[in-house]
Amino acid sequence: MAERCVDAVIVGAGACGSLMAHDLAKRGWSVTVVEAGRRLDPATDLANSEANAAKIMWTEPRVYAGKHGVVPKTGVGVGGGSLVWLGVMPRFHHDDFRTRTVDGVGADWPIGYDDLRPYYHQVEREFGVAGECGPVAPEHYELPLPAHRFNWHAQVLARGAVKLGARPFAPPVAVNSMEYQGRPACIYCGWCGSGCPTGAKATASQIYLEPAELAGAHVISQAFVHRIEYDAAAGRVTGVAYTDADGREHALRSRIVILAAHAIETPRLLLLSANSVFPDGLANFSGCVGRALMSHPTWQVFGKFAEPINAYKGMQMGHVMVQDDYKSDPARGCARGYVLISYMMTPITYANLSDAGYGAAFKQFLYDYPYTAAWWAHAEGLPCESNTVTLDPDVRDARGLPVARITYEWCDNDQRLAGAARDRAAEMMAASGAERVHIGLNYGAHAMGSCRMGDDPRSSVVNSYGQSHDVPNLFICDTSVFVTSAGVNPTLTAMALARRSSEYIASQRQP
Amino acid sequence: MNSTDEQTDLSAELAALADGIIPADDRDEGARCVDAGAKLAARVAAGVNAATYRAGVKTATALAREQFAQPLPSLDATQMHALIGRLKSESPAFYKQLRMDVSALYLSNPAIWQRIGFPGPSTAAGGYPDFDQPQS
Repeated sequence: MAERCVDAVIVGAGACGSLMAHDLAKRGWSVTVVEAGRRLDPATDLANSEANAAKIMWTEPRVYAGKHGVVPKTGVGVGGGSLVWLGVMPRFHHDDFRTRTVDGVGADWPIGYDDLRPYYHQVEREFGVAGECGPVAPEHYELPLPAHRFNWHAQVLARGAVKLGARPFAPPVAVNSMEYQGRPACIYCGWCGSGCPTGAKATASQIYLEPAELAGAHVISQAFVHRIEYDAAAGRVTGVAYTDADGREHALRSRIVILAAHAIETPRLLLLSANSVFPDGLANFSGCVGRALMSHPTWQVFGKFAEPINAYKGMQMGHVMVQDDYKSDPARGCARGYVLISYMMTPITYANLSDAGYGAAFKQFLYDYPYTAAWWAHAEGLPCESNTVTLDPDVRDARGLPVARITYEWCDNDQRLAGAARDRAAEMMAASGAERVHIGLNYGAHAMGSCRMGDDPRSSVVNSYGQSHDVPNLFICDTSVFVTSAGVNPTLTAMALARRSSEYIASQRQP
Repeated sequence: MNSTDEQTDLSAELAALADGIIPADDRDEGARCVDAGAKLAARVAAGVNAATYRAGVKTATALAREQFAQPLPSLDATQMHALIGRLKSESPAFYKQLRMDVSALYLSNPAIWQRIGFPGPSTAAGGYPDFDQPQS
């Protein structure tokens, strides 16, 4: 039976997809959101357990190749990555959008900070961001909620930072420091990454999807979109095909298709949607779909103290940040900058991020848990054309579809910059009084940039509104469109871009 | 060999390897506390990371024979420590998966939480009002 044609199908119910659904449904558009994961009730499904990772993290097979085998964490479920995220929401800086001009590396975006300013402001208020903009912000800006008090862990970290001349501050975090818009204040139980059971941490499902559904949006969960349909005669997409949880096939027709499936599944879907007009992947005349994938090179830096720290008391990430080394410094021998963020985990994650080996030494590291503090050294990763998302030629998922093959090698600048961040964190940890500093795991955080935006259709997939250069009623609204990664967490900027896109889409046609 | 035999055999070998990741000490029996060998073997029998595990156990068995002329479950703690070190370099994907899985089993046990100084879930009790105070 043929489905009715809706105004917009959105693939992915994460931060950006939910925002788009909200914005369009509120304008009277008929919207269907298709999400691969389940719909969860935080109070019952996300009670404190690290086993929740199996519910809210992407666990389907992928192939990790290339020299460094970067494995960015990705979320799944109604709410997407915002279920598992830790909520740190700083703005990008002016220079983050013009790294080629300023530092001679990466590439310039087709838009700048000023284009996103109003959207940053809106999203911060909607999501309920607490904190300070910090001493090296792109401009002074106020956030809607007061900063969280430093937990003891952050106080210990901050004292070392101050000794070395840095200016630690409470960064923007989308966790309520007081009751806000019906959601409670954080109780500092420390389980943010397992899914917040109280609702104090902002999630897209609560803040955008629930009102979107009240406005008429339809959300289909446990439904995997595997193809975008394309009408060659019209030069437009006409809807999507998806497989439901029972393996049944369905079709949805729509006037526009919006991809918000994150920087790995979005390019995978375009590549899976190749056709006779686009043999190398839908909307891929440029050849840029799946190219220049970026991640943030990070190090976990632990400090063992003589006195208890009990860092599990508090938000897992972002009670304190140091951003003093955010701009390029020739003395570092590399371009761009980094931030240091407090990051302490529940025990399994602590073990996994420790890189503390095995045997008695590993066990001692576990016994040190309450005496341990941790900085997360988080650096900008530069775009590199050879870091890619492609379809694996051999491995298929349970549906029989080729899985994403992620090929990644950190460039020299990435390694130098992350190394500088790691060393600075270690110095600060020692200055805080740690009796032993342990360098933990070096890993890639966040996925961005596999379908970059640009003004030139020959070298980019979408324009600055996320609209495909090749297929005008196809949009990409997630971190895939990033041109560079900046040195801070990406979600706020992805959401600000999505808001800018939703305004553009709405301005182009009425529902 | 039928599948039950295979699971039983793997259980002993995985128990030995798990002990190498988290060994016994004067506070507890390490990975053995949580019956890691049997649990991992059951997962492998159910197909979870089965190829990685089967290949890894095969490599570990060969290394034990080559270096110590003994079956894997017969290695003492010092020998197992050395063997895990070789696995880390010679079978890194298996080492990484094994370490992650053994850690998750061990650190999901409330008795272990108490031993490492983690009080466990606190949401029902109202979280930690003293989060910003000096800790003791």
